[in-house]
Amino acid sequence: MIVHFPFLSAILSVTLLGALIIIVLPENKHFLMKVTAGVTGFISLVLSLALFVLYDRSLGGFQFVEQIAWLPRLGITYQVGIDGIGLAMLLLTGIVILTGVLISSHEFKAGGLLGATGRPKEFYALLLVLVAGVFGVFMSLDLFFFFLFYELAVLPMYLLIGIWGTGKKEYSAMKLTLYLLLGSAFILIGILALYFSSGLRTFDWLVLRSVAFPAHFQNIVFPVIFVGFGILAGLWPFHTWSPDGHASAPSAVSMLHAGVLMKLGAFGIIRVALELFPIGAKFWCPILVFLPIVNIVYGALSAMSQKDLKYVIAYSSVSHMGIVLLGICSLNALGLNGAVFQMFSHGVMTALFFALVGCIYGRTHTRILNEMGGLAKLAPFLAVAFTVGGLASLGLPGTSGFVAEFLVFLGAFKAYPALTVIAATGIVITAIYVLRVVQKIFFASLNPNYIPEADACTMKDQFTHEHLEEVSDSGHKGFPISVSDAVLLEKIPIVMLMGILILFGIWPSLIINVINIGVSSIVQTIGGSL
Amino acid sequence: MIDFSLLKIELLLCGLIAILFILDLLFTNKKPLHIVAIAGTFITFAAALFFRDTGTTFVGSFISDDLSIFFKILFLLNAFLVILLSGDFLKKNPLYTGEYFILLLSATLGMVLMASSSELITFYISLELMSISSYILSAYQKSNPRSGEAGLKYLLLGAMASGMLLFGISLLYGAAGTLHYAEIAGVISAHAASPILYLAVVIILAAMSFKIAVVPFHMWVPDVYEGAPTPVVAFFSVGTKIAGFAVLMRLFMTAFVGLKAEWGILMAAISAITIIAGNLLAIPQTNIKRFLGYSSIAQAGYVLIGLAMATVAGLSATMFYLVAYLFSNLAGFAVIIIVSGKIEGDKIDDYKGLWKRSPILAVCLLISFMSLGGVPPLVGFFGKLYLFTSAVENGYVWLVAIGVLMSVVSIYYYLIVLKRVYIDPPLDTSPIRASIWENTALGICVAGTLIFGILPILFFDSVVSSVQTFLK
Repeated sequence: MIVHFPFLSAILSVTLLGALIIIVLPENKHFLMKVTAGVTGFISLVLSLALFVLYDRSLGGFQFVEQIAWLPRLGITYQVGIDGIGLAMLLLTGIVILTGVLISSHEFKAGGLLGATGRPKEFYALLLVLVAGVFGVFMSLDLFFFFLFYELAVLPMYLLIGIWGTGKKEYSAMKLTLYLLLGSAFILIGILALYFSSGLRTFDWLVLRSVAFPAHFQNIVFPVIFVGFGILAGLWPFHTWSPDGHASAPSAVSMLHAGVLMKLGAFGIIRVALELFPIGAKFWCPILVFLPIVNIVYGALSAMSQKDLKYVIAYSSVSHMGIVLLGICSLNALGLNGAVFQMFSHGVMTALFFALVGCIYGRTHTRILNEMGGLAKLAPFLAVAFTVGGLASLGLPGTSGFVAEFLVFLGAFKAYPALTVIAATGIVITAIYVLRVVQKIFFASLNPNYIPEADACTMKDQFTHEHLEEVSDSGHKGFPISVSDAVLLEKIPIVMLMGILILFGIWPSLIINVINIGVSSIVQTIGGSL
Repeated sequence: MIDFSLLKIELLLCGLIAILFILDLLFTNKKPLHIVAIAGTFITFAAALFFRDTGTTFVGSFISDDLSIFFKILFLLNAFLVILLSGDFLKKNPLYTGEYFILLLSATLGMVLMASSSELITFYISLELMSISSYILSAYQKSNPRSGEAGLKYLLLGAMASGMLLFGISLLYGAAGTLHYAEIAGVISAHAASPILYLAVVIILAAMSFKIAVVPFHMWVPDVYEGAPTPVVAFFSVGTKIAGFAVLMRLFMTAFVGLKAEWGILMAAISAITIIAGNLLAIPQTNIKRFLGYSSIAQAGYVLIGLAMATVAGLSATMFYLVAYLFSNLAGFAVIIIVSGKIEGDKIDDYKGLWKRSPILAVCLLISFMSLGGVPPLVGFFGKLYLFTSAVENGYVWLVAIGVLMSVVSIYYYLIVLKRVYIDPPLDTSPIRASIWENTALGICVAGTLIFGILPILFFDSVVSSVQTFLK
């Protein structure tokens, strides 16, 4: 290795340090907290980009490996390293955290979605701890630390949704936490089984990968781990936490959760289930593939019938995660490349969606589709951004969504032709609900209650702060509401996310080349076809 | 020949008790007493850290080895932290300040002796020293009927357990003809175990189940926890439990080691039932002390997993978890002592909006509960993981499955409390402040929870090696 700078530990420590600085900042220095969070997100993105550039593509495998013995007696090592798949995920996390922090720093302003709750200190600190956990999972090469970071990424969610959420937030937060902890209970049992049956008494992933576990053991443990991680990936029928959770969470948290955290589940399936249990994977994937198919179709159908904008996006995440899982279950290079690319693409796309939903909700004070209408006239920028996201979601060529879904279906068709046909209907349904949503919010006739911002000044008496408080969660109740277009602080992250969607739609090989390095080594382990 | 050098810790404690006794008689101002108690306990604790003498004395009935020294350090740390936390309570109930410290330290002396006893009568006497001091401490607030009720209940049920223990000991003496652990082990390995011996083992285990508060002998816990003064509850929720485990470990791993297979299964079953019952019963609680009572029952169930395994890994995991439990549980109690000193209430609803009244206390409670629930990177997580590891190693996968699933349940009820702390709006926004002593104790507990969670290696190897020498 040419570069000896410990990039991976640096990313982890930067995020944790950011959280620590925010904790010790005085209570009233809100601006400093936002800046610290923003700078932390920016540094971690820059470091991920640096890794992306410095990763030696000709060498492949795990690079930037760092190793510190942590508890040798139990075979636990702090060991991090990054391969092609992890690299894509690291980049995604960096993008989503930076944009999430920017979006939420706007929402914390008075009158914004988070303005009423306040408490930015805890918000940003928890957000950064969560992100440190996410980064940790993507780079851990030791199952103990993998699990540790995994839990660290899951638990701050409870408070993030419970405190700053909307609607039935406490119920959603608890449901989400319990579901995910149930998943991690499965994972823990799987990891302990691995630890003992290898006979090596080590959590070292690289060592465990070289162990050929007996077939019957693999067949027993594979589904346990698959379901454990599947719960976080939104696998049907364990997905019900996800719509509630995403709909109740504040924008930045939804962005991170749907954008990155659900990917942890899929990533865990690839890293632990697939790579350590190739025989189990071959036995179970043709059986378990029915679940992702249900995910795709059922998620899309549910999204179609939702009345609440945020639930539409949340169910579309369930549907799109089904595509990721379908790609994984196809067990060939095409499908896996597609799955990882879809993880990246959907992460960016859904982050864009939730950011936009936050922007819209902050303006209209309602998320019920039928109560909105004609916003394109008042907020053309938001309309354009939402349409781009929608087109990526339905897989229009030229956006990254197309490339990802195309690869997945190509790979899946090779493995399960008949089932793939059923799954492909999901795309049609996606088109229906996406276009319907875009039409209802932006292009139907303008809701007479929405007035341009310029007019609001003339009717200031009606437009008071108390009025805003009253309408905050429950729709505008016939009051006139001034709607403006996005401000700069919203435009920057939205343009970033949009740009990435289009960039990787036009030039997918930029990242597929890297992903493929990771995927081809997995395909070799499984012995699947290219 | 009696080797007094092995008794340094005990003698220091006796000296401290005597000094406190004299000072209590001489001075009417009780404030210096608190300082002397804090300083004295700390000195004893620090001395115990450097104490390394091993050997046996009193004709083999007193043993000092790595294991017992380890437990003594824990008891002294527990006493030190509780004494730090008692200031506010004693300011409000100043009537018997001197007696309070003396009883607290004599209970600690009982625990310290329990960890070292290797003969049944010595063990019984130390146990009674600890128990009787605890009974009086629970009834300390004479004027408060709840405290009196708690004391009486504890006394009656405790006396019943002591009776059972004596009955078991007498049966054991009848069957084995000796009271020394090592000689009992010799008798068991030489002859086939008689039914009376089995009966004795079961009865002794039942009696000790009362002390460590596991199902079905846990009934006293919620009532006593609710009624007794909070610092006292903190003291015996940790101390008595660790002392019980210290004795169980020595008694069962030396005297009854030949019957390992039999009592192992029994303990595994008890631990499973305890984990399930403790965790489920904690959910509907509305009083924070009852709540922590049930949570501590569940925790004892987890600790019992390691003991049931009766292997090096199992016993080390037990000891590690006890340390984790000490720090995490005392951190929780420290917060409760500070808060209840201010708001005069123990309802969980009283904790609404605590984050606003004191962000630091809220964070400490979060760390404590999450550690008890087994969340990384806190010490409770590693402790649980190590316990589960030792159980899987012995093939008790079903026990681990129960333990893991029930720890999800435990997160649920800890989160219910934390929901009030963090999410619900405060009923009263006046800030809560703690004294410097209370902050010190809280700081030590939280630091222990965090540091030993991130770097368990700091004392992990010494735990394992002390178990290894013990089992040799």
